Amino acid sequence: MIGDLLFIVFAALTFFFGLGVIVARNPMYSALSLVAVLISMAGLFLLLHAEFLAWILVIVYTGAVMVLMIFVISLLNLQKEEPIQFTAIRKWGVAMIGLFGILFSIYVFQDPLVSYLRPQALPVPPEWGAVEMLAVDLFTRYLLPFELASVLLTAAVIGAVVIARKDASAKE
Amino acid sequence: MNVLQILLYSTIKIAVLFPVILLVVAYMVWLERKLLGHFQQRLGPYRVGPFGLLQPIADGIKLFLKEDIIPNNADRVLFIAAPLITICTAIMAIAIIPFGPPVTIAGMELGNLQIADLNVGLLYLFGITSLGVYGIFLAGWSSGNKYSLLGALRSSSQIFSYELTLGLSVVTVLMAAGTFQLSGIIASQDHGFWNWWIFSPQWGVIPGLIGFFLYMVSAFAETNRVPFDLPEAETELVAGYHTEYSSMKFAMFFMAEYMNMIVVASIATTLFLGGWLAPLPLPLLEKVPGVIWFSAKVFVILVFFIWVRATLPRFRYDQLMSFGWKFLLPLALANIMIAAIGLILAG
Repeated sequence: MIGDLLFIVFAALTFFFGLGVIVARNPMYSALSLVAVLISMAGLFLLLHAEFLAWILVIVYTGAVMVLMIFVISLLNLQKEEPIQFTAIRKWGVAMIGLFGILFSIYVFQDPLVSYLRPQALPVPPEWGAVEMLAVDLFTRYLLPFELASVLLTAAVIGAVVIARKDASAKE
Repeated sequence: MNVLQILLYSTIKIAVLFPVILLVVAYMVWLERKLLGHFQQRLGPYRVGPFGLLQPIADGIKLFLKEDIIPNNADRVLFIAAPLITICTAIMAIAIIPFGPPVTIAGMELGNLQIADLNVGLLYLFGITSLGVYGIFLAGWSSGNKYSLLGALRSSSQIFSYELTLGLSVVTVLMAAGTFQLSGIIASQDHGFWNWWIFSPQWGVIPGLIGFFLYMVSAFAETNRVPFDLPEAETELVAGYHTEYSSMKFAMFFMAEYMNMIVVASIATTLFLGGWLAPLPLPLLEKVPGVIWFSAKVFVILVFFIWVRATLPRFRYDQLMSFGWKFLLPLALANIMIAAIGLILAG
């Protein structure tokens, strides 16, 4: 009961701030709306008892990624975005494409062939999402993908360092 | 426990703990001014009340009555939101501090003297403190003032850099205790101070001591305290991110800073110094309520904060960055390796 109520609250927040990301004229407000979306999504994760995922989402995305994004925005000194003037044909074209997309996804969800896409309540073990369970899964069943992902990230970090260094030596 | 009971018990705990925290915050300011005064051969506040004890109340009234100014250049919405974000995240962090062992009041078993004993307590704390950056950053950005913006940039890059070390410094404790739950971490340090994670009995003293050192250094940086108070370096940046703030909005930043100090000191106590447990397993000492042990340990750390402020000069910005990334972070990673090897060898 309270879970349903909280779900509606978090889902509505996610939706409205998601709208804010694309509607806001000021890039800073867009970025902050994205922060709010991520926090509401963490709320949704909490309702699914995925505590670890929820807080990692907050720490990594709002605490690190979005801070860097906001850094960039504030240093670029962007002004208010001027609304782009669309011609009538473009406006209607975009509207039609959007409508088609909505109808298509409704159709897809109706189709019995893709019924597995439809949300359904799965039985969840009580300790699901707990740190221990996640760790055991990560380090046994999903060990190879996990290690590959960390190698990929290390490569990306080294790449970033190399690119930054080249720039510095070129200036000298 | 049903939902209503949980709500009722949490409300009782909040109603008891919150005023106490506010009072402690007010008297932390008094203690800091008094101690700093004596460190510097002065008297500190002594005019309002005996030993200046009413000074925080006078300060509070003064701040409350001051004019609240919003600069013309400021982004009004974010300018007002920033101090609210800062103080909200500080208050939210207090929710998981385990002040004392289970209590029973009027026949109701309230559980630990802790508002919420989450099983991912420590992750919650890191999540909430990472949100605190937004308050400081938005305050500086929305003021529409270069000093504020510079202070905000410094502050967020500093908090951002040292958060990594802060997170890694507690990993050794998590490995040994085997849980994120703060009450569980305290329970794993029972029977005497030599079992506290600062002395890390399984793997020799080294990982625990290094972990505690790393935690304390990054805690100073996270709370913007001397020697890491570059965000509000008054000699170069006026007052940093809160230059344009006055009245209660300024007071909110001020209170949040002291609350954050209490939070990091409490977490240091919980993770490394045995939380509410007595230092020696003697029946006499164990009769003392856990809240008193907890408060005493937190008090010692807070005095240490003030002592450091009176002793050390401020870092230069490049020193701060290279210290964080080139010394603390590799040390934290090496410490985790040492602790892991020690844990495996100890079985």
